[in-house]
Amino acid sequence: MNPDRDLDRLLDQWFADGPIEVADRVVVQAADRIEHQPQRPAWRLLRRSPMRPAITIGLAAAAVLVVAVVGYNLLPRSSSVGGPPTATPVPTVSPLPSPTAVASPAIVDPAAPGSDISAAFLGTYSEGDWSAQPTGDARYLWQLLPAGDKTCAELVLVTTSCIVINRMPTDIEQYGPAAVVGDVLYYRMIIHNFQEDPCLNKVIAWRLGVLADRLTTQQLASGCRNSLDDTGLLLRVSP
Amino acid sequence: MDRDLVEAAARGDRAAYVDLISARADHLFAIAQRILRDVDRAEDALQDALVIAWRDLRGLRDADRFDAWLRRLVVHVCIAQATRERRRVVNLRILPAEGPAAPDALLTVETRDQLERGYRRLPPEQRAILTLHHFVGYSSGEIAETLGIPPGTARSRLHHAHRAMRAALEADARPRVMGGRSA
Repeated sequence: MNPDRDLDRLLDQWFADGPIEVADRVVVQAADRIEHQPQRPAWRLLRRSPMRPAITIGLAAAAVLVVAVVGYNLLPRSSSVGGPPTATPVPTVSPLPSPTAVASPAIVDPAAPGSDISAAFLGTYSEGDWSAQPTGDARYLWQLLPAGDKTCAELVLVTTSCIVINRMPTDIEQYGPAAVVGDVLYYRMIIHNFQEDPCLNKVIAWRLGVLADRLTTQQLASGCRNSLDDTGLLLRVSP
Repeated sequence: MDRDLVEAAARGDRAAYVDLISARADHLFAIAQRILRDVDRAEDALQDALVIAWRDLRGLRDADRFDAWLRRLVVHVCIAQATRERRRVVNLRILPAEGPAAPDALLTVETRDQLERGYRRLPPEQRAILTLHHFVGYSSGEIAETLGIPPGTARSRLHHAHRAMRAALEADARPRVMGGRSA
């Protein structure tokens, strides 16, 4: 007799023996536990999705570059000891298109009069019912997500002081402040170019090197492109 | 329809999720018990996996893949638990066979004991591989997908696990009970 077959049969039989029914309390206890366990939003799970090494390296390099550029622009510029004033570089991240007509990059105090640059989606929906389509006022070339895109549905509020993404009534996240250069509001973003799922074709916003959040590509303002070339592109909201 | 239940659960419908897991709990428990060889630990692992599955359900891209996804989660939780257990318990502890012993000429008490001891010496991942292959009926390709390893690696580990089990059967059948010792 074939010894491999013998072993297979033995193991088949051995594995077939044993308990095959679970005690009811296991499911009951699991049900009790999930009563207090919120579900993670899909975007948080997305972060653990495997990426191609080249993309990972590219994103990491771009993130470092963006941190350097934005960090440089966040440096105080109140004095220029030891020499004449120098023009502050425009925060461009090659190969990004440079913002035009930017004269004097500066961080705008969100509380300062006249500094409010905002884009808002004010939506309504029933609690727990994402079939309701958010309605509201989309300004500054932002767009609401298409109807039916429930898992991607978000309400977004962008100001100079923070970016607010509201997925559910109880799930509000705020990130900010953003860097403001002239009349352009910048959030650092990394673009994932996943193809297999439109919901995964997202933009991830970064702030000071820390993953902040994502926005859908549909929500990008004009001038922002959806490609890896735009890695490091900042959200641009022009009034 | 299960797809509807999965989608409802992913939208936060706890009742739908409980319906889903109730229909699958026996099978998943049986897998966990085979990997861990302990009813209590299998129940704990299954419960943990079910909670994790609820938490991460929105990450499931295709509702039709729910069963495979949940099974994979259970297997990974079992491997993690068995790995922790291996770190804590250095020596082997022989447990009585659980469940009614089927009257089968192939499986004498001695053979069961040998299999049990050989199996417990295997790394947790190899135990999972044997369980998926002999209990669930997975091919090496399906095992590879479940464990997230290359198919060649799955085949190789399955081969090593079989070799280890064969060695256990061929070893001296003299009962050797080693005392449990916590690290």
